Amino acid sequence: MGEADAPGSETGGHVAPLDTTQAGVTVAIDGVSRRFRSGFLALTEVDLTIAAGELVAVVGPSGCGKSTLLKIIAGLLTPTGGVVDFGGSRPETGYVFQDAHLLPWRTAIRNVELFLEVDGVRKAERRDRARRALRLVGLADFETSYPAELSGGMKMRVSLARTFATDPELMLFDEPFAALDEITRNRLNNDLIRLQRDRGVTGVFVTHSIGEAVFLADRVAVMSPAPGRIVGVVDVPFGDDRRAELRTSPEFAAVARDVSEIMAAHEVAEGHEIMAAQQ
Amino acid sequence: MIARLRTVVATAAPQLIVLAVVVFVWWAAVRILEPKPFIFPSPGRVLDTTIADSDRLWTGFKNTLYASVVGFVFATAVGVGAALFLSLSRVLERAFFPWAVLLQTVPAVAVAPLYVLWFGPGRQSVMLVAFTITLFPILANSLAGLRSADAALVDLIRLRGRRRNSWFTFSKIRIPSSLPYLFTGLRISAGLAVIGAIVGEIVVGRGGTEAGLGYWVTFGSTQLKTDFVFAAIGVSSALGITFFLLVSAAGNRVLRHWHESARTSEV
Repeated sequence: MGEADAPGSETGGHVAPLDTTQAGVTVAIDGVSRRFRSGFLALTEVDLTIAAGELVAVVGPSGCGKSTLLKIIAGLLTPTGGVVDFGGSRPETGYVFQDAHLLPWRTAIRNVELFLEVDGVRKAERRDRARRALRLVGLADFETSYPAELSGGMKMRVSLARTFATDPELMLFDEPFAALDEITRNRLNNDLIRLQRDRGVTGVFVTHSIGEAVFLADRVAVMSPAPGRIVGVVDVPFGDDRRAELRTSPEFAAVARDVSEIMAAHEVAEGHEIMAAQQ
Repeated sequence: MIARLRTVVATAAPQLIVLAVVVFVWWAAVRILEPKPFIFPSPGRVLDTTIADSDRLWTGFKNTLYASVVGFVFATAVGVGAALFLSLSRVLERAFFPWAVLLQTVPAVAVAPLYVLWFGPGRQSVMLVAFTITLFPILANSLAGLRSADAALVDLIRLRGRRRNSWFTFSKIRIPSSLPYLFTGLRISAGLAVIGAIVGEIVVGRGGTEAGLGYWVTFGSTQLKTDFVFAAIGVSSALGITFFLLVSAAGNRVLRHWHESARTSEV
């Protein structure tokens, strides 16, 4: 069985969010540092403000503390310095990992219901919201399939549906499609960007792929190798126009080059520092 | 139906061929070397004895089955209960699990006389030996299973305000996640339970209506009825295999959707 068709073909293009009143939340990351008990300094003085409804991609080499930053935003880790402020109480947060993390003994729809179950949503409403979320990701026909019967891309879609079903105000993506092949990844990115922009949810997308970051985000924040900090932010001037053709345009290439130049500069600089420190 | 029968035959055929070869070599060896029957009986003689003494063997089968099932069921209850308790915290696990490992290293044959001394030469001691020998695999595997739950998913649920040890996390994530491991433990223990019961019966040595297969093995060897010993051993193995297969089948049924390995002809 192949990858499901793009959801747009089933739902007729524009899809209304589950809850249209939902607005994004502002995230102010202020001087956040994190030192682990081993003494390893993963993050140092990270400053980044993400506007309501904005999608910011965070790129950097592996081990630069990108995932640590997401965990701190989510509240799974506490920073050893600095604060994350949402201008109010902690928002409803959706978190998507590299793997789908589904329960193998549950069908797709029962997997999507899981978080609603945690929240104590009644069965009928749960089922209804899960069904709509599955339709949103283009898996309306796979409600009763078990994860073992789904392809990698479809499992990620179920995982996305599970998160969207809770109507998050803030979405955190930790290299969500890194384990997929490029074709599937591009297709999921196309769908994700549409879902994200339609819903006006604030998002932070961690990736090591510059192309993915530029395609998805309003801004791309570049992190240095460990200890991670933000060494540059590049504006992505494409607005809501993110058709697949964008990837091959010269404008796209120009933005991607800006990002990779910042990355390259800091890899070299950091490298020198490390060598200097070792001598 | 016929197609199904064909697959059953196709899967069973290699094993049956091996069995036929072994029995043939046995038969031929006895035919050529002509050992005394009480040293090494022929397959035909063993079969004759099995049929002639089927009453005794059947009683033995029932008694041994009963003792091993009771020991197994108690070991499952205690093992799973203890695993749930130890999985509550790393400190509990560190405090108690090493002692559970010690339990595994105690030879069942060595503790059996103690059980007889403490609880008398009856069924209860036989069941206790079966219990002792089956407990550890069940405990260790369920504990590993409870620990195997998807940590990221538990984190996601933690984000929604349920603690790691909350009933929700246990009932919806951790306990179901542990089932493939639990069934691995149960499969190992199913065979062990029969061995434990037989060891117990040999040490307890009580005949009559309580005579199990272990008792008949001892009885047969003291009387130099080697063919009967062979028959009793054969029935014991059959019992162990049946028990093992039943537990495996139950496991495969419960775990249909867990792992590719446990999945049958679906999709």
